[in-house]
Amino acid sequence: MKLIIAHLYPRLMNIYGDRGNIQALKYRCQQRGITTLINQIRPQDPLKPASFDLLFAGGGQDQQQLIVAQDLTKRKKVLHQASRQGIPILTICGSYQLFGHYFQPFQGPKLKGIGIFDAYTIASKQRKIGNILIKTNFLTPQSLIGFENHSGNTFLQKKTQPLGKVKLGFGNNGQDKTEGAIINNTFGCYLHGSLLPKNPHFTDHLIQLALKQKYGSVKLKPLNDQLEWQTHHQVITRTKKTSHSLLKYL
Amino acid sequence: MIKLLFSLFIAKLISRLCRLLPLGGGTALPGLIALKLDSSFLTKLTQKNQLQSIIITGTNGKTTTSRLLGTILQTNSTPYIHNRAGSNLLRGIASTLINQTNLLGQLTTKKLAIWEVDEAVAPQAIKQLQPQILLFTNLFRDQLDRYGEIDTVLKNWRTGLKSLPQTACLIVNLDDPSLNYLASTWPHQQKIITFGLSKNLSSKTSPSHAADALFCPKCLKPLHFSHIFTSHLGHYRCSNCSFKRSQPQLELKSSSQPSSLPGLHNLYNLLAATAVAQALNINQNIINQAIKAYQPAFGRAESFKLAKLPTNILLVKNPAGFNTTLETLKAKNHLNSKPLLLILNDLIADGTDVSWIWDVDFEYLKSRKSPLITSGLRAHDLSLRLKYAGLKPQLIITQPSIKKALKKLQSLKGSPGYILPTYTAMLKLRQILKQQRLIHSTWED
Repeated sequence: MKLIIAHLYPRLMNIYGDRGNIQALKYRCQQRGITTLINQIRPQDPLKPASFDLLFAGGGQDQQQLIVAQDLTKRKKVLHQASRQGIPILTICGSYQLFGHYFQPFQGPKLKGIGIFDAYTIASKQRKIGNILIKTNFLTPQSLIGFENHSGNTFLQKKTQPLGKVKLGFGNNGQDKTEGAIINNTFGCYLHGSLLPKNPHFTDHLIQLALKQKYGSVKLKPLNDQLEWQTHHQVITRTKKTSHSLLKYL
Repeated sequence: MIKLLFSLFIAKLISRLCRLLPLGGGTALPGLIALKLDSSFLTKLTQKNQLQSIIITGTNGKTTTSRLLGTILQTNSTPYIHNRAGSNLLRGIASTLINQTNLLGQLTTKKLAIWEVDEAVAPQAIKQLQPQILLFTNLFRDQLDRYGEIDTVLKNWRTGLKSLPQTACLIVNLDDPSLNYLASTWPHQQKIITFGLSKNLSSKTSPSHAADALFCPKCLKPLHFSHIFTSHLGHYRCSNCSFKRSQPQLELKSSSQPSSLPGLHNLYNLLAATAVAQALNINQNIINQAIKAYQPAFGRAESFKLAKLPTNILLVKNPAGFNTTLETLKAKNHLNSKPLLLILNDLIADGTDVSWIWDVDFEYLKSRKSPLITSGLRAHDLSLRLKYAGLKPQLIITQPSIKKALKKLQSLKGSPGYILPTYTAMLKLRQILKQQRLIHSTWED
């Protein structure tokens, strides 16, 4: 079996170690004898319909996001089609915002997004920084952990569901306790960390979805994930401490 | 005047108290109080004493460059003051002035100051200290949770340059595209000194994935690198506009560096310190003599004996610095054969976000056959990173307690050993080593 993973804007959108997500996908496929091909897509590079089985895009700086926003509009059709077909897509932070309808920065005009998520983002004065723990309803265990660092407030509208409920941290906007977004098999969130290595159940979920699209139902071979889960739980403990109003000072 | 002297008096009192209490450090509080009482405390004291300030700022190399410069000044018998105890915010500078002046706010013989300045407070420091020399070492991604994006830091520096005196000398590392661009925006071009490495010192042609300034700071189109030294430092030109690395005034052609300063990053530190010394009209023989005699600063290539075996501490703070350290150990053939302890903390001074470890090239450790230890508040994250870099899981020993990890390190075979801690992990490590009487030097060393 073979999976083609498209990595959108690997240089422009990789400021918070998001490439760790690609490494996790690759590693967990390789351990199961699934070949992976990572296709790096830079601005102007072609991205043909049905040329990838999974797609990832990370976070970037404001200036970079401008370039990406322009390039992304040209790929709108291909990406919408992939999302509708159920190809798994994971977008984080800056890309997550541009997969919504728009991003309104502090100054200057709105950045147009491609509107896969029924959501919009508005820059706020409060930068939301810290460890974050959310609860999903489709993973076992239900927890996802990561680190958020964003000033944009994202608001979900009717057609898009949140990825999970915020247990500790800020989430989409620091107000409605939602974090991230899901539509079809397209996921968006603010979780850096890197996200996938210490959330192996989510990584496997994405791989499983990709394999299902391509080969029909495939059962994934379990791996020795002792270290992954130790890290997951250790980070939950750490998050509890760093979000506690008193303990964080110790 | 009365306000200044009053603030100084109170601050001196607090400084005394800090030393009486067994808290250690005390490098920030007196300065913090003085600045609270008189916000123009720094400006007033520097003007009163006609103090010439040298500001050294940038992501990496501040401490080593400052210390090198200090050694050069000592060799030249030039008296100077320096905020050397690692407090590089305005309060640290104020504390240094508080300790060095008398009750009337006078510095007796010293007319020169070396200020190591945190990159985020550089604009304020430039405004308040009105330096005669301003040095930018480099700009890498570092602690995004605290500094924000590197574009933001660069923007702040540009604002800071507006308040730099016209008579000042601006020194920049030309191999860093961001700094090249920054210098080009300063109107007094004849007062700029640039430095860089010659192409024969380069071993790479493609930037590492952790590199930052890959796009032209002027027109945002991709930069082409003909030579890379480390991360995004190299020889480059823009694919679209006329922006490029030109010939620097000071170019190092061969690496005859002293053994106490290993690695490519230290070549930059040597060049930077030399550039400042030259701007101060110090004789080149004295500069060379001082560099030879240089002793590293704490946590920067410091060594001690652990169970009779030599062990080195190398501070790691961000992907660029970490990669250079790994590359240096690799070049010595020590990376995969010597005892290794990596310590990752996530306190404010380390950066609360540990995502950056995914930008470090731990793949260098892939072929390691002997065990290594991870420790610190985020030891598990580090172990996981190593596993995904391709290191065999059974070789990774996770021990969050630094004390226990240190004990474990003694059981690994080979010498010298290496400890690579983040900032607060290094402080903790030094505290433990001091308790065990393995090192003796203190904060002020």
